[in-house]
Amino acid sequence: MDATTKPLRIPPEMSIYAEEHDIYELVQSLVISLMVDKPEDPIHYLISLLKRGNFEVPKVMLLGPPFSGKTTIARKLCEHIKAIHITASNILKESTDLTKKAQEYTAKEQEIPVDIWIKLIQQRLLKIDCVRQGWVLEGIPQTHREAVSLQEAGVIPDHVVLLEAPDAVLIERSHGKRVDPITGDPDFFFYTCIDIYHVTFIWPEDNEVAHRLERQTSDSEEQGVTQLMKQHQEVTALRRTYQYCLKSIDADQPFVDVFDQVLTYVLSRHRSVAPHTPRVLLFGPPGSGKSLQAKLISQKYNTVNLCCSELLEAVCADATSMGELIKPYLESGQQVPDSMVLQILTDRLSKLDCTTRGWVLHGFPRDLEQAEKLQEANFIPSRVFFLEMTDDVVIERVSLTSVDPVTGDRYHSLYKPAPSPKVQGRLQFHPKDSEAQLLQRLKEYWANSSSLQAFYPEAVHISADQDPHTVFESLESRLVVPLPKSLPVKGENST
Amino acid sequence: MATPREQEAADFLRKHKIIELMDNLTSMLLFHRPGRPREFLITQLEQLRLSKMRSLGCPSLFNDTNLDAVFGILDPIKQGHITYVQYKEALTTLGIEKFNECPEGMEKDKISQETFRREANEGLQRSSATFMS
Repeated sequence: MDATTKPLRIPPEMSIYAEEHDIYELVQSLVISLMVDKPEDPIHYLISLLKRGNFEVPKVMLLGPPFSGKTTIARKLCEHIKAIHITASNILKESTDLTKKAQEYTAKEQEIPVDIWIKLIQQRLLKIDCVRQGWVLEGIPQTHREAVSLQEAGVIPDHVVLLEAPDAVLIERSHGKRVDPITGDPDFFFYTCIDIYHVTFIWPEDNEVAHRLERQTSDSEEQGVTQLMKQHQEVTALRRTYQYCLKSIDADQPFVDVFDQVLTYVLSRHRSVAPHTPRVLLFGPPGSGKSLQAKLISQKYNTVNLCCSELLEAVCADATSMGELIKPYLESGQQVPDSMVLQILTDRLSKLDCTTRGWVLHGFPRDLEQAEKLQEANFIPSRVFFLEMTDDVVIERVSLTSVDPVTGDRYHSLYKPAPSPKVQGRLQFHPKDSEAQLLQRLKEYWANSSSLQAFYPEAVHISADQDPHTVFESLESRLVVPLPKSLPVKGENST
Repeated sequence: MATPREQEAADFLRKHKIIELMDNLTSMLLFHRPGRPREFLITQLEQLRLSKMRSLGCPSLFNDTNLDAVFGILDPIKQGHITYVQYKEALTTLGIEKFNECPEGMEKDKISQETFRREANEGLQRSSATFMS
């Protein structure tokens, strides 16, 4: 029973299953919850945690100086991700004993003590709607002390957005801020769901609304400046506390841009340490750099680099029975039948090195049928990339490449011309790269690419019209990070 | 040097054997590969809770057939017993950490199939019953 001499071979079904169902993240979040809450009966606690349902609820903190647009962003964000919007004011609007106690302080215009405040926040977040749908805390915490107490209480966000803008811009904005008094509760000191507008930036569409807008009494310039100063004092400490999940976003941009950036960040998943075998498919027109990128990825991440045409040629050269079968096709230049290609590929992909190290495949599938067969053979890619390039760039790149037969160096008439006329003289052009054949290859590619793109809806499109290292960086950034979450669909019940 | 909170956390983990529990649950998940992992986990945890209350057997990955198969590999000529070294190796490979170092038959270096099965089962129960703190 000497399992120590042979490496432990884990069946690939296990890793595929684990990745598909996010088992690592599930167990990780279970352990995190256990550590935060430290229940007396962990089994019972785990059962209720699992029954409760959705683990990937948004937990967002939206911080920033006054007048940076937090409320507007927070509200729109909650609309999109279906989370609960929590502000300082709507916490105080609850009617529990604790809130009544807190309201006594505000009635006397005193500051609420930190421990009561933190308990209030915690209480609100433990309510069933926040637990089910997630939350966006706007403007909480405001001080370093609040942040630390929140951490101790176990309130930990997944994403923290810090809006930033120069002071001058903020003060300018404070002058233009207008509120619609009708949608607010005039009896209550804090504003809850008032619509906030701005003279220059966000003007209401309805003329009636525009007429009744007025300035908030609490927004005098003096108060604005004091609030700004206070925020500056605290922001460095807050930044440090949440450095692992914080992203600063420039609020001095058009609202739509700011919101887009915030939404993309909130939907992104942080890099996880879950074990992950990359299974990458690279698509792209000829000359888009597929082989180069495949090589770069394999070098860096130690995956197996599979180029379909090279694989076929290798099998042919091996003089096996399969090799004999495909030889006539390769020699005459015809396309090898799908069944044989699939057979060769599945053999290669099932080998131990592919299952343990992962693979990068390019040159297959070329059309929808091949893609479906690959799927049936149960080789599901974890990332699919489409390298995009316009036709004229393709033609420019490919038709002008040539090889020096003596040294084996590749040259390009425009980008990397031959060093001397002597070398130039002996350069050879591959007939496959001639403009006529290239146009044919391009036509085939475009004919199939739309159906392939429909088959892989989660594919990432990357512009290949850049230098190789930039392209590689874009590929990498999508390869190592988990895929971003998708927006919840209206009416979908969280399971 | 661990801070007091880290110490608290480490103690909690150890006291309730969370790591072992998670290991067992994950192994079950990866072995059975249910279509709905959360429901499966809930079932396993309920079973664990029941066995805690009524001192029944806990769910574990290996059953008697597996144990017999393992014994069969160690004893291909069907002598009916294995050596002590084989016994130790087998139990360690099955993932049982704390097993009986002095089983019946140790003096003659002949562990019978019955003893093997019994010790293995007890060891497996001990690994699965992570709530016994």
